[in-house]
Amino acid sequence: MRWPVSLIVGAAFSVVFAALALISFLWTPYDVDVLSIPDRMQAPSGAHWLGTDHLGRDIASMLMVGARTSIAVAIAAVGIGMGVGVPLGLWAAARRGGLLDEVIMRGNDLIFAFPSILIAILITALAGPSVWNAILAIGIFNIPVFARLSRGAALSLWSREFIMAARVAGKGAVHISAEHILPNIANLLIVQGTIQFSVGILVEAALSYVGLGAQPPLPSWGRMLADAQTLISIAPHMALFPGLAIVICVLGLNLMGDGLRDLFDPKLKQGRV
Amino acid sequence: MSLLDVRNLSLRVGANTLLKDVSFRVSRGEIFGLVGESGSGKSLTALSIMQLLPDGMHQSGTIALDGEMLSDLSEREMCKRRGRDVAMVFQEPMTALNPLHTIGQQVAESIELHSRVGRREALGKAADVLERVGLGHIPLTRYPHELSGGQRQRVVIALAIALRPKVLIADEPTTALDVTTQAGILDLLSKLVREDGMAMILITHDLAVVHDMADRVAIMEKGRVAETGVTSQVLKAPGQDYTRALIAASSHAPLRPPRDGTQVVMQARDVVRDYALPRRNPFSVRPTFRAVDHVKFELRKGENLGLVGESGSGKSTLTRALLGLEPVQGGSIELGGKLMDMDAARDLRRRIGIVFQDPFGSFNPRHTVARLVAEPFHLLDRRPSKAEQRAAVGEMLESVGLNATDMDRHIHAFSGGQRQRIAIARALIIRPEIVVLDEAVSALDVQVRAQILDLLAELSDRFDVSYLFVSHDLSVVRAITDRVLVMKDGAIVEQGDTAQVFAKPSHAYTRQLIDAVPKLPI
Amino acid sequence: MRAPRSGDQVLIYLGRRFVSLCLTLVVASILIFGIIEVLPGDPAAFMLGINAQPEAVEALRDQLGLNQSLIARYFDWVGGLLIGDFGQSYTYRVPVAELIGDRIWVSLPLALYALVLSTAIAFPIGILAALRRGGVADYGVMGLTQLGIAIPNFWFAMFLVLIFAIQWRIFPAGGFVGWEDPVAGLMGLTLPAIALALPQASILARIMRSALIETLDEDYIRTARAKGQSRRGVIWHHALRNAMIPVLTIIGLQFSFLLAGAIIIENVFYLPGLGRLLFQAITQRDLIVVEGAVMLLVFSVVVVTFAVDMAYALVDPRLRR
Repeated sequence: MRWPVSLIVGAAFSVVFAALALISFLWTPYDVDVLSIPDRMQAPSGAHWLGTDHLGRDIASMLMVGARTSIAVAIAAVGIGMGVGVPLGLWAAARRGGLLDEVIMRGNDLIFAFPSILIAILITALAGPSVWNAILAIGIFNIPVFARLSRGAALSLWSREFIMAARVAGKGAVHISAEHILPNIANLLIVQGTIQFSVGILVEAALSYVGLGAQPPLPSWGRMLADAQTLISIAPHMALFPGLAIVICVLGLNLMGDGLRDLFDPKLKQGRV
Repeated sequence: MSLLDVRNLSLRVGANTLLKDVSFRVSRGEIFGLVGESGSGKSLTALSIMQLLPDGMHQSGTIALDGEMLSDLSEREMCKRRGRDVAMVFQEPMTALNPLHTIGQQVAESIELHSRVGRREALGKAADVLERVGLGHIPLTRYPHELSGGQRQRVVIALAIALRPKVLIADEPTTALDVTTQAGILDLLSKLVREDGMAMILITHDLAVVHDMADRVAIMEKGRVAETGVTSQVLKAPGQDYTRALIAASSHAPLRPPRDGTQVVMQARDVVRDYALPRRNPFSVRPTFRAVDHVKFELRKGENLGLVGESGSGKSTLTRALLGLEPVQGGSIELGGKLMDMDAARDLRRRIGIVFQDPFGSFNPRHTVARLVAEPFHLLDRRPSKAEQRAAVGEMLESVGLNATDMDRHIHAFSGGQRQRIAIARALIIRPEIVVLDEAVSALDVQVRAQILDLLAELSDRFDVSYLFVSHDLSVVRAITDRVLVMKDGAIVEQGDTAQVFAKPSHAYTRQLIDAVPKLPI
Repeated sequence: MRAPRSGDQVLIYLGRRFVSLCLTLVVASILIFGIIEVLPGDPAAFMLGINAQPEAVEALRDQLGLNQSLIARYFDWVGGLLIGDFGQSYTYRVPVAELIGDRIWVSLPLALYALVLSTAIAFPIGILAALRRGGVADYGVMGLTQLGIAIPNFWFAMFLVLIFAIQWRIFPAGGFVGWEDPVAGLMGLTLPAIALALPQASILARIMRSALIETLDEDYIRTARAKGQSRRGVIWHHALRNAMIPVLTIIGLQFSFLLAGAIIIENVFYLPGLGRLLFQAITQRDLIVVEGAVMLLVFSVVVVTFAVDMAYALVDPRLRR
């Protein structure tokens, strides 16, 4: 089998970012906790590859540490979405047409009426801004995405004859969902997981940018952009590099998602979104 | 001079040859049958004449219509010929029409594309054409989803013949339809050919249909024409082994000793199944639809019982209820005197196995054959060890004509016929008393179908198992069952010994069904 | 058994959707009310500061109606919402409806402007890509849209400001002059709308392309080709309308994303919209404003969802659910 180019490129981008985040635990070019006002807003140079920010911190180091926040938030949010959404979706499909199915689907509609920023606003109103807030808001937003996807895919499987055969063999809904349905929708979930991962990174950046996500001193790409905004005509590099980091990271994940889809189902290649 | 002349038509994709030197001629007013099993290239031949092949196919040879080389025309020129000079009717009426356009619009579109008429005039002509195909009573403003399968196929025919083309290609036009509907469509097609003097190419896998309809026939095998000739001669005295094999398989009946067991293994008493329909408005009572209406029958040990009905007759619903997969609203189903329902315990469920129609959809693609065939072991109180299961699966695979070594492969490595053998192995692995065969051979080509029928006959003797043979195909039911139930609108309208029912049907519907089936003269 | 006629069926479908959406609104109102009113934090205490006298707090609680039972308060609030009374802001001391009323005329037009832009960009390039499937134009569109999806809109907005407002001075860098001068108002919203539209247009273009390509594989397209329709003809006469069904779904969803995005983008351009109001209200713990604004946003999303359902009813005669 030939590996899709988009998968290779996308995975490479993603691995680089994951590696940078991991390396930042052991080493960064500069210490991001140390402020150095005399060195502030330096343009990129040999000493500071991507320049420094308004407090003299090394932007490259900040980006490495910021990657940790972005990745951790996105992973946790996808985890919440999958962990709650997939069982709900499978459960609804197993009880298709019943009251439980209806309740789960209407619950999904309800969450869909709240864009993730509104969820974040409500949680902040409740508990104050924090990185947990971002995780929870994006995670809740992910639940209906995975619930719908797994319900839809499971529904079409439930009408298939191999599921009938399993029912004739005396297997119950839980057994069938675990043994026959989940493995057959796993590919779909992985692809969607990659996409929600990238959405999570974008939303986390937005939430942190408006102050509803990661709080200082925790470095995050969104916060770096918030700091850079007022200084953009003086020090455009402060805004340029965190933004590019987001773009490349999200692009990598999306390419990986596309590539995975092609890999799992070459038939869909032409029709992909 | 013949109207359509196909010479040395070859088709390939990359290194694969799909058609090789296909040649035939069709004259005005003639019905020409193109017969073959799946993959023989008959549909590709049709698409070549229409010049509607998928991208990436390389075509050689010539196709001439009324002296004009279709194969040399530009796409633009060809667009002017399609629908006007040569038109096509497709197999699947459920998807062949645009769901968002009314039937009037869709027929009018054919007319508007090829003549300078306004919308109103085109719709007027469309109404005439729909009248011709027997849909005069249906308003032009209906959408496809409001029509039955047979009616939709009439719309597809209407938009194909709207401009009285010189050649009409009908690709398996009745395969997706019930037998009684099929008879109507075939009558309509021959009437249209007669009236308009057009030529028709009738593509089918069914030799009996060709016998009834076609003046001349070409038998296709693996992308080549095996034999061409006048239909009656080809069917009476085939010149090729392949044709002979096809004809033999089409009317094949397995040899098996007649059974007359007395012990009843399954009994249905006044079974009723009602479905709740959506409310018409929020305040009305929920209407119900009675899918199974007071059905009673018994199945005896070692017997082969047929259950025949057209789509919507309720046979699938009844089958699911018999398997304990659907609740019933009245009556009872008993296996060996014990009640079979949704809550039936394993000791009851293990008495009945199932083989489905679709050789591709009835297996989890992610499991090995060993795991697939071993699934019913779940119903045993003492689950055999892995080694015992493998031994049993291996033995069973050999019994159905496969190798024990096949058990470690995945299902996609097998052909349709092999998959049905695996499905049979799965149904029999825990030695049930009853196996339900739900359209189990309907998706198979005739030769494979004959082999599977032989296998089933052999296994029924060997394992002393009773079959409930659910099918819409009367010829198959006739070939393999001892007794038959005829179902219509949820009720059993007739039951009795198969030979007797077919020889002397007592119910009008049964007679209509039997008369509608095209037969080979043997 | 005959199916009900189309007209009835559409009405039943729309009626069912309407009831379901009303239910969504009711549950959403309970949820919003519950989160904000029931969970910790006493707005009266907060408004009066740490050193407030307990009596003063109690008096204010009475005045705000906070001492009534929860259910009574909920019905008060919802009853008010129904007649456009959102309550009194704790900090501004003016009716919330007035506050929101001023701001909604920035946020809503911004989201709609962005929706129009997004659709206007996405349709032609999505159709182009589908027409030239596998060609250079297709690869170009797919590559660009892949990039467009990855760009955070608020970051893109900053550079739009830098280039078009600070360097070239074509558009204002921020603020909003109001609708007295519609042209100036529209100019003020143009950069934010472009920033919002870019990622959504990219998504929509890809959906458009794939929906068209999928539709082109349908059997009825082959039927139309057999009638003599050209490759182009089947796209205009058959594929586009059928492809609109998935596209409409996405347009409906996008409105909700655009409204959410507007809340964020307003920060880049210092626009006096609902987003800014919300953030101020949160920092000042003016919770009744938060309640009202969030409820209004959810209401707009639900209304748009219903509009999309009606559009379905227009496009698709089947509508069996």
